Amino acid sequence: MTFNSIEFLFFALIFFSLWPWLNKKDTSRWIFLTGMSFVFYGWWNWKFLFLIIASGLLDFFCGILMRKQPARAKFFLILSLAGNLGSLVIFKYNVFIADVLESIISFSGLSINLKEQANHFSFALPVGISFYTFQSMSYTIDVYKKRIEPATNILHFFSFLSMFPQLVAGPIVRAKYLLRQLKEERKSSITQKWHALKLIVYGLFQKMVIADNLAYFVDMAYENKSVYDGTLFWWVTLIAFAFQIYCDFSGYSLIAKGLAKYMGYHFKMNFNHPYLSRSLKDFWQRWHISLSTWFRDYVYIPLGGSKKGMIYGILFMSISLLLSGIWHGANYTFIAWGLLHALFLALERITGWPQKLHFRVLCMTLIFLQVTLAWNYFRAENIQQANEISRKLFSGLPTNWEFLSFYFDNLVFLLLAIGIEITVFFKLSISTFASLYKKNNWDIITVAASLTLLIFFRGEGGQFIYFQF
Amino acid sequence: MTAKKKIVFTFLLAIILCAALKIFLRDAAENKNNAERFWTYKTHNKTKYNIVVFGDSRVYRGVSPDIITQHTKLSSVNLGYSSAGYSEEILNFIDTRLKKDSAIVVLGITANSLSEEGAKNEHYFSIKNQNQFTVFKNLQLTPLLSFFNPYKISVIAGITPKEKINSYYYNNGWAIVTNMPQQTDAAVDIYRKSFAKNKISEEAIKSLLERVKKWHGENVRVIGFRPPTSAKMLALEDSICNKEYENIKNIFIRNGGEWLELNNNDYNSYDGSHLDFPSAIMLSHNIAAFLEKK
Repeated sequence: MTFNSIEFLFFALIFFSLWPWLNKKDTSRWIFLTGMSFVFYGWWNWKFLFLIIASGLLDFFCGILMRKQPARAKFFLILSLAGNLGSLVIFKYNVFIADVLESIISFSGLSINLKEQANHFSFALPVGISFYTFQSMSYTIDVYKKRIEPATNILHFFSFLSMFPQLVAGPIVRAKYLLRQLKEERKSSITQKWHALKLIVYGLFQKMVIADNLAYFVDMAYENKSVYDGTLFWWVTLIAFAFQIYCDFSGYSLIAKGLAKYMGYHFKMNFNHPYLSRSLKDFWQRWHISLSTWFRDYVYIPLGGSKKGMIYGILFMSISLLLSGIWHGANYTFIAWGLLHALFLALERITGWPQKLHFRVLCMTLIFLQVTLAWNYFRAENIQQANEISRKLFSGLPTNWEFLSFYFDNLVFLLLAIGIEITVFFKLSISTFASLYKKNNWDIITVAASLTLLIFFRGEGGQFIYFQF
Repeated sequence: MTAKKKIVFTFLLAIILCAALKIFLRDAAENKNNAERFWTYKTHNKTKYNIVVFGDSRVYRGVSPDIITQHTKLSSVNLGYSSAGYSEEILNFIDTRLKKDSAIVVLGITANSLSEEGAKNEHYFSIKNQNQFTVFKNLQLTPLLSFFNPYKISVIAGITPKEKINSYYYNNGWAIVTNMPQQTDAAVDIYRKSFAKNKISEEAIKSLLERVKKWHGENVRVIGFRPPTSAKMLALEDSICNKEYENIKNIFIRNGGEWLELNNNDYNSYDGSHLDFPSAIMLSHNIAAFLEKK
């Protein structure tokens, strides 16, 4: 069930009605949280539960055995990683890997039909598999590195792994933060409840009003169902997608954070207005923070980070971004997206160009344009479509301006999204503005308006984009 | 201000804003007519009818059962689905909805409906496999929630007439989808691309023709027709399956079915595939007139 569904409303009413009583003791808290999270997850397809339970059992016991048999700790770590990565390969990447192998083999002149064979064995992709496997792997890696002690209670562990607010689309929460929080009865004060409600309403607004309204326009363009074409059309489409994916994903993260806060738990921020970044490095410290820090801590730094000089630093950064691209999907377009970011980041490291630009707004605009160009590859069906659109972006093709009125009902929300980011920029930059906002309780107005808009101006709706990961 | 007061004031303000919208812009709300309810009702409803019309989206958007009922005085329903095709499961489904006395089946036959992908009937199965809560929600709750139908900014601003944004989904299984972009040939390209990976299914053809024979043996009148469409789509479909089409038509008739010939030039399509509203009405009348003849 998605957060913006009636089913979830009923689920949340039941959960939060019972939570204050069942939260009092550890065992009842863990059982209730795990049980309800399984109901939440199994609502998509009860068969998905087998995989998360198997994955969780493997990592729970590997964690314990790493402590009990320290000489074999490495073996148990490899077992855990193999299990998690193996499930990703089987459920997510099998057809893609077969396609890549087929392409490589065909270079030698041989012809082999691996992709069709792989298709026979492909299974339905379990929702959120990339998230909970990464969350689980971070647990076993941290236990191996002795950063945390392994969970000794299986219910405690599963309540961490399967906690429903972040189960299917993140944020990827580190065990050292959440396991500790889950060990005690935590209550949210009325102030925290207010902040939680704000997060949930803003998250639903981002998803249902901005992302869902933009989705129709973007999908029509990328699925070749629109008669419109031209340079301006594709720039507007790309900028619309930039805000669609941001609001869709940020919206989900805000709702997850809000639900956790309402329960008494703290999740770190996952998006921090990434389109206000002054450099690409800054962007990656603001976009999908839980995933980018995961790759930083478990790939980039272990490889050597920036300690081995600039060239190695760029190489390790590229590997991290390549893997990040692959994490998003089994398609060459995601690899291209990751590598584009690697290229832009490498240029930034070598030249340091953003620091040389003194106009902040100009800097932000250029970074936004770089990110938007890369989004083309993220959204396109295949590399050919992405390349074709990239050519159109710079070829000066004429556009029929009629598309602005045809898609008026969608594009008005693009203006709203841009307007909101500009307002946030002023709020962050001008202290008078920020204090006026706080002093006059403008958040009451913004929350009430968001609530009204998400009820009466919601878009056609669709699944959260990141559920496909 | 305390947090408690903030929560109270926020909800009060939201209620006032919502009430203001409903009062001052009462008529501007979108008439979504419950697409979800439409599909769930079509699939999970057990009512039987004298006349069942079936096919893919050209049929569910192109044939009004009310018009057929007006002419024939027999109950009728449109059981068309998106990208529907002929398979044993779907033919059995049609069978379960037929009143066996004075039973008539009207089948729209397109290239897609005879294809491997069409025979999977993914749309039908996605509705059929809805869990009980979803069925309950779509049938019982969705009508109650029509109070919260969304607005379109362009309608409020007077830029777009309200009629243009409404889609109409009728209980009899017919849908008028008016809020699709009015493009001339977009559907042709989509169809062409889909057939690059799809092909005509011998099994689908066999299932269809054998069922025609079986129904004929049970005194069920079976009518087949090729849903009218744009000239470009017609040409594309002919290039995909022209020879099979003529054979299918001949065997269809030989097995006891009747064939309704339609003049494609009489109809207009709004997207290269589906009929516009006046053409859908015309098609419905033509089918009804054909049914009345015997």
